[in-house]
Amino acid sequence: MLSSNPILPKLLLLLCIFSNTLQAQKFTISGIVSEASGGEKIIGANIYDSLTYKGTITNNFGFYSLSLNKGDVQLVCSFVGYSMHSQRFKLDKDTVINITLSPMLEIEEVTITADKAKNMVNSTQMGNVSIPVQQVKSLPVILGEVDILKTLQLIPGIKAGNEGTSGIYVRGGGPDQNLFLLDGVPVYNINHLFGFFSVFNADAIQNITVYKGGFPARYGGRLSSVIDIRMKDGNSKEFQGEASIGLISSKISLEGPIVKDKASFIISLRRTYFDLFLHPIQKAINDNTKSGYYFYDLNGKINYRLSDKSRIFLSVYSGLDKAYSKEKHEWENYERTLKTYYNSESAIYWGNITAALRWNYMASKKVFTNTTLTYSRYQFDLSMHNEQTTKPVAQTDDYLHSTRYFSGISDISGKFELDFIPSPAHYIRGGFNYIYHTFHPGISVSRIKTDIISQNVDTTIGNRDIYSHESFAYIEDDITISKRLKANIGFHYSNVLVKSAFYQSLQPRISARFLLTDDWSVKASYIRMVQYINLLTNTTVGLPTDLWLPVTERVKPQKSDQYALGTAIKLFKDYSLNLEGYYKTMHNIIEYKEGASFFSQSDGWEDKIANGKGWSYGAEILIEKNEGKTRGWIGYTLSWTNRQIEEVNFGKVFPYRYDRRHDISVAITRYISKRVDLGITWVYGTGRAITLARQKYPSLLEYFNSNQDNENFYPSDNSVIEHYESRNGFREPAYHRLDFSANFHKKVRWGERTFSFGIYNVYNRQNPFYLYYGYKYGISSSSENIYLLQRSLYTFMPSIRYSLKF
Amino acid sequence: MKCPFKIFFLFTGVVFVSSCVKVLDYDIPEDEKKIVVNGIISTYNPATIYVNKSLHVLDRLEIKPIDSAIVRIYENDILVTEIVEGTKGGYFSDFTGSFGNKYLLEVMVPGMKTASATCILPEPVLIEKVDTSSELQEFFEYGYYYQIYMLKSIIAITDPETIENFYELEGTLLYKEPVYYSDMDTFYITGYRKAISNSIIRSKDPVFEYTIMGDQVLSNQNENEFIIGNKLLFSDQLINGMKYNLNVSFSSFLFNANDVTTDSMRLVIRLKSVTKDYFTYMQLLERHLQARNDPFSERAQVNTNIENGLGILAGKSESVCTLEINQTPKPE
Repeated sequence: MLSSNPILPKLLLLLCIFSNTLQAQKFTISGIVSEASGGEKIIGANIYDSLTYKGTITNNFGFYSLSLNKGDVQLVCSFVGYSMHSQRFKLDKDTVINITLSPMLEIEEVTITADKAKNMVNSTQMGNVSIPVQQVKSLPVILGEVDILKTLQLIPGIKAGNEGTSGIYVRGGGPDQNLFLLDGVPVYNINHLFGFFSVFNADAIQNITVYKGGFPARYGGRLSSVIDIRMKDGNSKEFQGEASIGLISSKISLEGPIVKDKASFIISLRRTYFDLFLHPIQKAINDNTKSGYYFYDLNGKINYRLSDKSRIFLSVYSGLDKAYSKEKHEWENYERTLKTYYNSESAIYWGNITAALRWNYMASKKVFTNTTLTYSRYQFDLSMHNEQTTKPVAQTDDYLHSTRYFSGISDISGKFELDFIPSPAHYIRGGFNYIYHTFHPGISVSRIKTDIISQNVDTTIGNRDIYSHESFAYIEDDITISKRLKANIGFHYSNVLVKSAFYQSLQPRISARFLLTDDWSVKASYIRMVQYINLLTNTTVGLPTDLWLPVTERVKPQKSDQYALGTAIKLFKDYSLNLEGYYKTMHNIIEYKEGASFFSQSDGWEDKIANGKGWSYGAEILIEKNEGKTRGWIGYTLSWTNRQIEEVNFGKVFPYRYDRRHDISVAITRYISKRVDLGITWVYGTGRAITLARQKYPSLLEYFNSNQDNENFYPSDNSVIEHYESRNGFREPAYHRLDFSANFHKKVRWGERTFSFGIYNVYNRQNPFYLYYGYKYGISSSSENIYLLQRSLYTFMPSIRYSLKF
Repeated sequence: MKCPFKIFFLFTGVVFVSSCVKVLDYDIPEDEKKIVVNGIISTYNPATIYVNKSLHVLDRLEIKPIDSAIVRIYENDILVTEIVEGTKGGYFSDFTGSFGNKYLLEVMVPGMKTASATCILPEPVLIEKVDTSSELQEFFEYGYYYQIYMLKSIIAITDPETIENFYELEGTLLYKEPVYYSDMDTFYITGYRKAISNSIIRSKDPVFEYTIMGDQVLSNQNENEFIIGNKLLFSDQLINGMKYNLNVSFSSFLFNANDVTTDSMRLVIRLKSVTKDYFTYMQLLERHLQARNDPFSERAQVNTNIENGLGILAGKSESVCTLEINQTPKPE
């Protein structure tokens, strides 16, 4: 008995203490995963102990933290496209292990199972896709310009807008419902050349992650998607560069250490040069005229490692499109006593500037913090100036007409984020953000001065600047509940204050996955998103006149609820299958009223729009192969998207313009050898829904004769009007296209050179850009017939690009 | 500024010129043809109805009038007129409506579904008072400098509070125009005959929303400029239940014409109360006409109150005030 044996209770007590101590003997391994060659941080790399199968992934800054029991550890680190790292050691204290991974040659046979497929099975996230930049560069492109957005349009659930444009429509949402982040800074206008190219220079980009559903709580502010684009940090070990020249633009990118392994930089510049070739030709034809168009992108980043725990980054982006025209003339009167000068200048330009100052700090082995200050500005400016002056004596027909229209948006924001990894079973993220928005909704300034009218005209028309304060806070936890069940649960709270309007919302974000087997999981998610910002945009082309506007007392925040159910399967060898179904409802979405146009300044913007509701549902299938000599994916989406808005279509339900019933995309890259790789893409989409008349009839004004004192009717020359059965009640012909590319690489003394050849639209399909009724081209007016005409933009287009890496 | 984006249009033009156009071999469905009815029943003029048939959008014809229809008008469910034959699609009656009454229009065309529409003629809102003065206004447009003699008018009305009102304002000039005799070289005035002309109305009054000028209907585009038209349309959105003074100016080439005698010239100001359907029709028609040739505009559907058909049946009543022009002091 215990009372008769004084030693036993003491022994038991000691055993308890000892066992508790043993159970508490956990240590944390943490560090940074980066590329061996350049020091670039690797986002989303897998780190796990192959003995216990406990693991984690690196965050957006390459940081990881993994708490394991004391004892033997076989630490494995892997990431797609890189050789695996493995090391065995005894864990008996908190340890910092910074891992470098070496890029794997593309054509090597891979004996290790594909991580991307495994990640897809294991992850709780639904609707997110990570795209390696190398894959973007290997796919066929239009006019030889690598474009990230064009690659995104190949992913199921993400639809392209009009032919050739960069806009994306995600699961029934509009182009205003996508948040583009460049190093954490929102980019408001992503279009060059009216949407034919995006502003993102692939040479400066390291990683692209797209969320089209299942948004974790750390993201908010848009309903449909978040495209998180991270710039390269710059090679911290040695200087290197890339340069290329193509049909449309040339690019150069330089990076290297400022202080080796401590500080590095990267700078990338892309510019078109069509205007430079045009000027000499114009001068030869007409010395008095000069016009042209160009765009450029400039990305720059500096990072500095203050200590093993602390790092600062400064990244900037500047991009601009400019179209201009100048004309000058001068002449003398017959008597040669007077000289008249005529000067006309017009310019239209638009562009973004973004800047981010970021401080990463490892507060402890388990806590990583990121503090960021950002600035983002988008501006559109149109100016026209016509002037005629006579010297030495001014004449009555001298004049000055000057007009300027400008609009835009600018943000200043501060953000704090914290990653806390207490154990392998929890990955907790939290943070808060404040944004000060300044909206410039479009102002027109006119000056007219003539000698005929004794007074000058100086007017300003338009809307005043609007300021808003937006903030959000979030908390989320990636929880491993059991060996098979994992969930990500979070809450995102946001609010906005605009003049006297205040809105707030609490948005739950829940996603979970259950492992049926090690290679097969089922997932489910529910998310709510709220958006306090609206985009008035034309859905035909990516116009720079797109207007970003805040919510107001009249225009309420847009909201969406999205439910998704899916399964992810790692198939045989390197194949994976992802099948996902979703149902999404949207409220307070905006749509242009019937007849509303960008170029009408007659109404305030609130009067141009109507709001209502929308819903979208469908299924997406993605089959991927990520390793081996042949890689790529096949995607198929079946979806429906509708809208119902009181002031549109007489309040009846109508299909959304980008309601594409079937959407198929095939993207395949074949690595023939170390020197040659080929790429093909094929896309197919059901035709867009457009509003097209089917009947015509005379209007009341056909019979109105204003010279009578009564309303006796006499036919006039007025044309009849069209009858539209419903908004978007007509389907354009289906869109499909095949593209091909070939890259020929060769090692040269100073690096590597590549010739890239491509063909856009190999079988010359004339896809619809715009449909309209008109007279057939070339037929004389005496025998004109009306036809339905289709305008197509891009037919068979070859391209070539020469690139250097040094 | 009407079109500030000339460079943009030029650039877009280049894109379009470089693109391809092809005739689409596409079967646009042949929808069932509909009866098109455009008509007005009013308290001041005999009802007139125009009947047409809608056409396929690719049809070469513009209008297809129907002369074989039977048109019936019922007042409070009692048949008041029946017209069995049309002239170029026009069906003219001698029936004039009364406000407050409900009118049913039926149009029967052999082989087609009967089209019908109803409207209740609104009660006219009285013009309580008109104060006028004349002035010369100077304008400079298209390189020319000119003056217009304007009759500035302040028209006092009281909008009824309990109902939604829609209005149409116009001014009609009654005058005597010369009758000429010509003997090859010389024109002689042999006498005068009665004539009618619509005046132009200008206003900066914020209530006016739309204007009709000939075969155009335009919205009030720029608050800093005048709205100008033969007729000005407005609702009581800003003036519901209020006593209000409409500030307008009437003008006409006749005021400056040398051979027109102003001795017996009269300006008839008509304030018409119109049905909501008609007002909405004008609103959407304006958007439709503006948008149809603009590839960057959303297409606008025009409403109809014709059951089994297209078009509009408008109901109008009016309140009239007549001014003697020659008694208005002219500016020096």
